[in-house]
Amino acid sequence: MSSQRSKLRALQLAQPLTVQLELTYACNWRCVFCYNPRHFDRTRLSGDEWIAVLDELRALGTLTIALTGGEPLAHPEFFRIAEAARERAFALRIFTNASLIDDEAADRIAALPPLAVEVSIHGATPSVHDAATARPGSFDAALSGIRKLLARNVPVLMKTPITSMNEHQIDDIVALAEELDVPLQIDPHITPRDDGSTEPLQYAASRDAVRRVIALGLGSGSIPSTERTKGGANCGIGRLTLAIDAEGNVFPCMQWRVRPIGNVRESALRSMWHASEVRREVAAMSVAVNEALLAAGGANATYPFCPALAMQETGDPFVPDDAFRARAEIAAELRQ
Amino acid sequence: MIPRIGPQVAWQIVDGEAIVVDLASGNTIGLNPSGTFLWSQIDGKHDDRDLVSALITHFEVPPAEAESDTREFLGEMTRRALIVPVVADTETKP
Repeated sequence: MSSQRSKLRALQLAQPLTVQLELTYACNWRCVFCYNPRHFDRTRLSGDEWIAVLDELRALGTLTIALTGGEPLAHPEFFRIAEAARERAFALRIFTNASLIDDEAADRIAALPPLAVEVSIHGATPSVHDAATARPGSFDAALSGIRKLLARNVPVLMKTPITSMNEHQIDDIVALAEELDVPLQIDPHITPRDDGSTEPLQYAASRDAVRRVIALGLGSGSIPSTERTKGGANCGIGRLTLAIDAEGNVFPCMQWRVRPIGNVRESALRSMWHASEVRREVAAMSVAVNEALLAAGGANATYPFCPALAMQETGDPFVPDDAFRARAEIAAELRQ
Repeated sequence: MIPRIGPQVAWQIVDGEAIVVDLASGNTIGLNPSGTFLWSQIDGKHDDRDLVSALITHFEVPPAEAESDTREFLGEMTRRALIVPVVADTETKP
């Protein structure tokens, strides 16, 4: 069975192949455009609780787990959880700022081993990067962490959200990734905070910068190669993905925080997932969104659309926000 | 040979078929039903003869065919480093 066919079967079966575990809201950086509403946990899940979740996810059919945060390495039991994930044969991705990765941490990460460590870098120079993170020294610390991982042959992906603060450095960011010899993904989206605040959007990049990123084909801003299909789903929300926050709340994806499916402290994940009305509603919504975009035609029909982000920005998952429309138009122009 | 799943492997079952990820390359392969069955029997305790016996019982195939299929499967998985042999502890205690 090809991986594409297995993904389609998992979609039909509502088997959450890809799961994000937000281990902690805590972070040692204070990025001005961060989507997290806070940097502390009220009642953080313990290592034992996360390991029980891993057992449930294995039974639920998950293949890939992303450990994220906040800064996941800020969880005091990060390595215990990561090692337990690998013992259960999950493919592991780690979303980190890399600044807490010393030699010992790099050794332990290499021993897992992860599918990839995805590192957020917010500029090509210390001054630009550290202004975004509000943490002097964070650029040097992050690059040190990346180099320690690379020295141990750990696959690293550099991820950079393009913003008004770093858009003048696109070429330098590309050069930095080339110098490090790591793949680069530039994200042209700045998203609202998970509590609904649109404050981060003031740092959104200019239309010209977004155009450059999309034209360069750098990851999430690249032009999609496939068209939507009638009867298909817009995305895997409610079927292929789920996310669990630091306090055990389960969401159908990381961005969809309208209403949780439940909490792992209150009920078993497996029964919660299959019985959830919220899950069924958003899965149906994804199909309806796909139909609506197909019917609308034009640029919106072909550019990757996130109903969760639309919900955050317009209050309606069917109504694309202005930034999405702009990106879709740019992608369509470039395709001609 | 007693095989075990390699250290750079992730896997899961989707609709009764095993999806195996090679973490070193990032490549993913899907196994057919007999491959999935054999994969599920690999536990670092059972050897290749045990796998042949299990395949005969489960799929009711002739022994020669089961042996050939198992050999081919183990060879391919070993070549891809998705399985490795269990190394016996031969160290002599003082």
